[in-house]
Amino acid sequence: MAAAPDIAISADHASRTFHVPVREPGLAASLRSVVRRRTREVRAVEDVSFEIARGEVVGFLGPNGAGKTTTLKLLSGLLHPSGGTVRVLGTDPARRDHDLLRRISLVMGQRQQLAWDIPPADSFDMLRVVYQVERPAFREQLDELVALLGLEPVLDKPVRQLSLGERMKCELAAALIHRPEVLFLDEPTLGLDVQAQRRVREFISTYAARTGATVLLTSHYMADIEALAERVLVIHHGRLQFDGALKELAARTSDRKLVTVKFALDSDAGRDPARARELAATCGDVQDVDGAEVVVEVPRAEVRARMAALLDLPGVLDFTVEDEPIERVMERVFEAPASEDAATEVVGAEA
Amino acid sequence: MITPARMRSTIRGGMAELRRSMLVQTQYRANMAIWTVASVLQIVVYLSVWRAVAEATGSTGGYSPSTFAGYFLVLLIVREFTYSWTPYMLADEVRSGRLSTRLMRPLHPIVQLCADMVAHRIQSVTLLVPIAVILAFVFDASVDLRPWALVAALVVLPLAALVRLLVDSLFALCSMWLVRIDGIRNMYYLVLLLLGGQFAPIDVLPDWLRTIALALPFYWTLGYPTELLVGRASIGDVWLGIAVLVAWSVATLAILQPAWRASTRAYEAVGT
Repeated sequence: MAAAPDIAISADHASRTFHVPVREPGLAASLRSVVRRRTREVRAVEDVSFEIARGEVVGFLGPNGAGKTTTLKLLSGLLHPSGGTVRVLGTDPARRDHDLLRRISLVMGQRQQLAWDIPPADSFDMLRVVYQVERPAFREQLDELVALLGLEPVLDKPVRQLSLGERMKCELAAALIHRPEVLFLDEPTLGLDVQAQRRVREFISTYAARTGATVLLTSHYMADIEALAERVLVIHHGRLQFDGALKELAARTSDRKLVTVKFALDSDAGRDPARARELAATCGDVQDVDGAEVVVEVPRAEVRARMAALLDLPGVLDFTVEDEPIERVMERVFEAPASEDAATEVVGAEA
Repeated sequence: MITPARMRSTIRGGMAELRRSMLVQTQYRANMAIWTVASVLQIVVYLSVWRAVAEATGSTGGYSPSTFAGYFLVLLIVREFTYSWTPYMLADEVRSGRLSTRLMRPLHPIVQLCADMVAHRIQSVTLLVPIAVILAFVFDASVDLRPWALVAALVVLPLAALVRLLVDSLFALCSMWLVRIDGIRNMYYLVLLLLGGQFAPIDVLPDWLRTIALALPFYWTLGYPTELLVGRASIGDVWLGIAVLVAWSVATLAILQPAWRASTRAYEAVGT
């Protein structure tokens, strides 16, 4: 498939299969495996197709082992697809063409772009040469990264003495020294505290807006995805389950809405949470009671009718209607069995 | 395909990696001192054993106690100059997943390994040369170092280091398939120890073993440059040695390129 010029990333029926050794637990099984090795075929990614336009920021969602990281490795050229094709900026990334490598970047957890024993400033300078960045452009880019990420105090400290958050921010800076046009981010906020997560999120958002970079981002923190990506790809059991707007995902996969009912404090229900629960339960499934506020879940199709019933309850002061939190939506998606569970299959033995 | 522009960017990148590696290695002076002592002790053990043998017999394989001492002390420097730790480093990078980071850079991962080795070598050879000179007095070492051999060594030693690096790299690629290669790696170093001229000069080996040693690359990267510097090689041997080293370079390079491509295809980017 020839990608259109404004398409930065494309996967066309991409698949990746691994052969992993399997054996029963225990010493006897271990000894048997020395002479008779069994392998299992694991289809980590199967028949995945999508296109991402230049400048798009796309969230990549899926539970552990769904195939997110494998897909990122395919797109960044670390893995060759077992089937189908992937293209990044019009090139097959598995060829590891140096011109392409100078235009993309991959950040995986706390990967070691930085040398452990020397200050980040020395590693940044080494990367400047490796990526052939001219000094003035490097200076400008580094100044911007230092300002955006607040790196000034850590530039001269050996990396081994930095906190996890400081190291992660330096890793991000190292990955962006060459101003990549395509950025693959695999769990960029993993292990960071809430404040550091927010700073990294803000930084990624600003970077993408300023440079027009294409970003494909995986994260277990839905806050990351909600803050950064309007479009999401959902992968489960190695197959792409959804490709579209985050809001559309909630609408399509959740047939419920959450209604928060507020009772007046001088009403019976406002004074007695048990009474509030009892009243609210007549309109939907009670999810939570907090003083005079009760959260009930109602079927999306019956929201209007239930609202009318709610308004008739004694003491109702106010109510709000919301979609389910995206975490709940994702739980539903991932709890559902895959249409065809093709993640693993034992294919036999080899000596 | 290697274009002049690619070559230039590789050299620049290699120099930047070398600078980084020098910065890193200066952080670990104690480690360097321990490494140096271990290297010296190993060679002193071989030297002492073979000196004792030669003292008992008068001469072994054409070596007297003094020329044995000379051989092993020059070997100490040559080994350091041509040593390659690619099988250790690459396997470690594969197992830890760090290779993925290297593969994402527009610089061949081998260049970074080379930079680490050169940085280490600059420090270790600087430390080992004065130690070898002192030990030469202690063990009454005899070396017949000729000026033309010294000039020839300027060509032979880098070539030997290159062949060693290429052969080791080829071997190290096994780790892309097997992930752990400790067992085969130990076997590989045993062969190198025996047939490379490290455990003993190959002149003391039985003829059949010596023939095998000459047919493999290890002797040409270690024993041969040592013999050249201690005065046991003629000018004819220099040309032969250079021809053999060039032939091994070309052969291993020719195999290494497709082998690297096949290995990266097999690489499963574990640990990331």
